Amino acid sequence: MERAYSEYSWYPACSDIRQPDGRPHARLTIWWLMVGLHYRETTMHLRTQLGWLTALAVTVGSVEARSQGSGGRSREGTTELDVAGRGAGSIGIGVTISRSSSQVTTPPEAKAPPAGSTPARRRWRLVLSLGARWGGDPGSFEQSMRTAGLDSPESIFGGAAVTNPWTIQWGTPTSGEGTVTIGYAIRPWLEVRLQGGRGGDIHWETMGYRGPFEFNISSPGVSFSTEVDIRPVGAALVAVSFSGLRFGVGPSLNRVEVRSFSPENEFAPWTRSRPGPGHGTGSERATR
Amino acid sequence: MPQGSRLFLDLSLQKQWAGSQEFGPYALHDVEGLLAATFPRTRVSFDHTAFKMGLGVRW
Repeated sequence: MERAYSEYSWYPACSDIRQPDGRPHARLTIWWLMVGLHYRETTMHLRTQLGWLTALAVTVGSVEARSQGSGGRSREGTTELDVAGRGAGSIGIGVTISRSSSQVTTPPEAKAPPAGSTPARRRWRLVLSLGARWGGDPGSFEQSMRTAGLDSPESIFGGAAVTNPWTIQWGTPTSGEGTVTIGYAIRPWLEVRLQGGRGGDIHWETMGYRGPFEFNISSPGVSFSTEVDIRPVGAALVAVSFSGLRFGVGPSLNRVEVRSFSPENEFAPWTRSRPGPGHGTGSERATR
Repeated sequence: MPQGSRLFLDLSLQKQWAGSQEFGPYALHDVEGLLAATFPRTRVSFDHTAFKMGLGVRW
């Protein structure tokens, strides 16, 4: 019995930046196409442990840079346009160029705030981020498999010897992720942030084997594999800014799924690995 | 944090201490149902690190 699962999702995000008179400076539309993993899992003799872990998320370093280049500057809804600007503001320059196509003209006297006035504080922030995530602890499963004697070398289909246990991490040790962050500045130096997103899973599978070198029906061995998936769900941060650096700390939520398989061999029925005393404790729970 | 810019670039390095969890022990049986191995109780850490780069807007 098999169950197929697939996921195809679109996540639109649109940021519409307007001037005080309602005319748009620029419009930025980002479409993310996330095509999720499409996998099949055998529900017979498969055990899955699924849990939610809370975590302490600490932003150990966060740098925020101005988006405008040396020639672009934004101040309270008015924009000075200079498409020749370069440098760290490449993204801002791109937005400014989009604005130039709208032929918005601003009187020079309107570019500077009136004398004695202070700019209104912008308290809300919205950040769309992409990045990579790495971590986890595959080595602990490998060590336990060596302890269990699941470290026999084997030959698969008469090929070269495979050293057990061994771990594969799907793709690379890192994993891409998309994050949406909403922030609110209580003070210029103090900000509350909520983070959420999709992707960024850390996934690895460790396999071990105990048995004869040449796998056959008359003398099958026993193999065991574990799969771990860590999926960050969201985080709430309280961040303090200092000289352009922001340091934040707060709780986060991660979904952790651990599966274990124990087929004797590909010709015999699969066998369920029996739970031990540690099963069902803490935040883990059996779904099958 | 610059106050005047509406758009900004946000770079962050984030460490998540997700804690650890114990799994096992699991008794592994061969095709005849005999005990072949015992996977011991194992503690696994789920700590991880993320680096992110994004575009932000203030209002």
